[in-house]
Amino acid sequence: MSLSFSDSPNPLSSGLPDWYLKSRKSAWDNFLDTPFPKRKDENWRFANLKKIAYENIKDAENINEFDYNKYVSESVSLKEGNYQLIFNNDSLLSQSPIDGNLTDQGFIFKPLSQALIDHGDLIESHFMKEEPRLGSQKFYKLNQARQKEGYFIYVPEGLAISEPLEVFNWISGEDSGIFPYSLIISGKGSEVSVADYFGSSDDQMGLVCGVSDLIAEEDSKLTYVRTQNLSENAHSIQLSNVMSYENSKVKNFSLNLGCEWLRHESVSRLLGDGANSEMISVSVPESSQEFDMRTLQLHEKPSTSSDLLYKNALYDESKTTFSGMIKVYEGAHQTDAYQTCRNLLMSDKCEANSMPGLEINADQVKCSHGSTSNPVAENELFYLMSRGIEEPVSRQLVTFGFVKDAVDRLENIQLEEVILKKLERRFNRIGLR
Amino acid sequence: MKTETDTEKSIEIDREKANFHYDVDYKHDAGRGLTEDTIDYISNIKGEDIWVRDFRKKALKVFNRKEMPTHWASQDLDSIKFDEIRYYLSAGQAPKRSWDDVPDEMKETFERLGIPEKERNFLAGVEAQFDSEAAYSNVKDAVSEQGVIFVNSSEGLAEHADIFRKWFGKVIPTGDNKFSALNSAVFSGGSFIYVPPGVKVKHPLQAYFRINAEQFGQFERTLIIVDEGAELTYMEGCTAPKFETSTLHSAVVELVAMKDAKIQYITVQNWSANVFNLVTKRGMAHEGAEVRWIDCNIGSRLTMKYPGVVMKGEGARGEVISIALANDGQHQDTGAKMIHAANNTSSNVVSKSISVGEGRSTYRGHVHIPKHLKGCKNNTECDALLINPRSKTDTYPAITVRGNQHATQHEASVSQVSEEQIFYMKQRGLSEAEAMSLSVNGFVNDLVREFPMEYSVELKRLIDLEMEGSVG
Repeated sequence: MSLSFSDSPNPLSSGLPDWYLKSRKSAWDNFLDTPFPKRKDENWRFANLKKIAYENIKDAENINEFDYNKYVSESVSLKEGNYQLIFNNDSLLSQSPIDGNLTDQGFIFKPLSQALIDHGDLIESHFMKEEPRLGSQKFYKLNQARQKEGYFIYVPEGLAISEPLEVFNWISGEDSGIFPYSLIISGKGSEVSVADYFGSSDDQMGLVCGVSDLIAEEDSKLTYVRTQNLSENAHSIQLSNVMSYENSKVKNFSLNLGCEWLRHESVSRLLGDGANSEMISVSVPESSQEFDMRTLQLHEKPSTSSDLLYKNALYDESKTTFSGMIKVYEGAHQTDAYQTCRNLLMSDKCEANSMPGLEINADQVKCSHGSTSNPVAENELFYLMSRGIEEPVSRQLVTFGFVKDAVDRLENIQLEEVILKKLERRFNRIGLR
Repeated sequence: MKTETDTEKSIEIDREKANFHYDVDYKHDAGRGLTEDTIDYISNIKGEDIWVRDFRKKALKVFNRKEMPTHWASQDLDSIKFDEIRYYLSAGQAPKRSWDDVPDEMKETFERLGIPEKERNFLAGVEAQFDSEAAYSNVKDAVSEQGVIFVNSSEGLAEHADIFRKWFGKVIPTGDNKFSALNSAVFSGGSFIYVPPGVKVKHPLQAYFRINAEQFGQFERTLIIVDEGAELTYMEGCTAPKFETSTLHSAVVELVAMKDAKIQYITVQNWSANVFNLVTKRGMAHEGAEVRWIDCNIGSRLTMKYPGVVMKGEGARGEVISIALANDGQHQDTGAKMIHAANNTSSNVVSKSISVGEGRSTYRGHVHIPKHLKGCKNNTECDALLINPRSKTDTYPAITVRGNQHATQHEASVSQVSEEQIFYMKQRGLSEAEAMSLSVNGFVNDLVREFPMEYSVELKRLIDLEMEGSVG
């Protein structure tokens, strides 16, 4: 098995900082030297390694003007006036102008290529500092080596951005690869929410290999929502890192609908007294989609809390793998950590693998995990049917309720609505069964 | 009627009590290290058939080929020095049927551990293994009259090959893992039991395993076949003296429960803290049959043990109930494996662990339900109790469910003895240590009740002993 590319990375336009160009170059050598994941790697248990033997992926090409208008018109904001960035194939299509009052205060929301030129030093001190811990070193290096776009958000101390910032990422063309990087920093006492949408414009095989770093400084609130509705032939690899400092609150939500195969690795590091991280995910795979999700909750300091809820409703011959780990470091007493993975089995051919894990190296902690895999409960169906609702409708209602419960955790009406709309469309497509 | 104190006395086994060893003149010693010659040596002494010898040699190749499972298991495995271990030690071949015939050193060992008394008091039969071979083996007449065969593995292979060969190495194939291959190469001792159809053995059969020598490996092999509608309870206990260097215990235990049969297999392991206890245990449950593993791990340096049940026939049931206690320098890496291979099979895993001082306890589980089946159920519960600030616990379950006609649930929690509880008891005049002991006993109490009474008393005592000095 191998992972090869039809070309080496394109050189980037001039003007980018030296450190960035260097890191990109050494990442490519590193990528070539890093071994391909092996079947025996614990982090790839239950994974289908055949899926990642990419031979022909190439950097996605720029698109023509006709498509430009199409993408921009399809990138509909939650609310008029929200700041947004629109990308296709790792190139910027559109960017909202930011209120001068905010920029004066130091607020930054820019495409990566531009931010590297304007704020190179600030980015350098946070750029890709977290080596992957869940098995995808090879893909991490791949992202770094072929990266050319993404975005940078910086919210300065004490500033609250009330409306969600929105980023649209489109991919098009056969065997196109995009390698976005996002860096979001919420400064001391600040507040921000970000919605990051991924979609395909065609039904081609394409690869999204993304890395994101979310850094919540003291007393800040950071909400990040990622929705993925790529084509049913696409692949997605997403490596996300959260660092949560003293009394910060991070919510990291992910909705997965598209892709033939995806792998998401999500790490939350709790680094200060009172830090809190919520990790939430909803997936509704159908046909033969395979979703492979791995998570890590690292309680490195005492008195931190984390809560993970992953919900999968599996149709047809779809397959999910959930591997979660809570690690409580030595001396990290007064940790509160929870982890729940629930699989709702909607067909007799789907497959759910769950590996909920705990590694506890300190006492005076509260930790628990639970994992269930069940069909829709008979008594819930009975309840609805006894009120005159037909069985297939009842079944869909129960399933919708099952995933909605996770969406509710966002506690942000705008963001909840956009996710529920996408879910509704999904359930309509699946139809009554 | 006997009082509980009498019972307690008659089965008294504790850590210190087991910490003694005798200099024994071993008549047979295969020397250190493992080669084909070691196997020939063992096979010659035992006068084994050629197929057994071939089986062993093939297993040795598998053992040498297989990698140490350190990609998921403890790195401590690498400190086992296979070249320095003695693979076979015995003072003689045939187990003694009468207590008087047992050599004095061994008799003293087992009397200190209370073996013959146990037999008199509770058991239908007992076998006591001293290093590589059974030193004493006896079955009560009433039981053998029912057609129950209870012999050691050599005798079973030699004299009842027709019964045992069919299942030998079938539940746990040689290549299952590195240590099952090692056992298959050098196995000696262990019990072979056959219970004929419809026979319900009233009292438990028991085996007792004792390691006496330093840098020695004990590799007993147990195969239990319980025929249609029959029932059996089997208990084993394990001890070894404390030595400076490490000792290896690597058993293979295969259980076969035919249609509607019931097997209950109870282990109380109290190896000393220098023993690597790497055991493969699996049962096969045919239609309507039930296999229950009741497992208690208190001693050893590293225990790796994941009793499993393959539910092969419709309506079969599998259960693992386990208690582990890890103290300083110990790692109890235990768990369960439930393989559903027929419709309407159900399995249950309840695991409780206690970590004291710097001890580490780990639960590793595997539940597998394939898609062509219907109506399979699994329930898994793991609870861990941490006593001290540096106590450690891990949980690594893996659950695969295919299709929508099954139900599984897994839950795990970690907790500690609450200060309120301790305060409450201290207020009523208990010392802090007593209060802690009582709490820990309360934590495992619902599982301890699953053990036969005499074992549950012993267990409580062992827990009290381990808890000593853990507070204050």
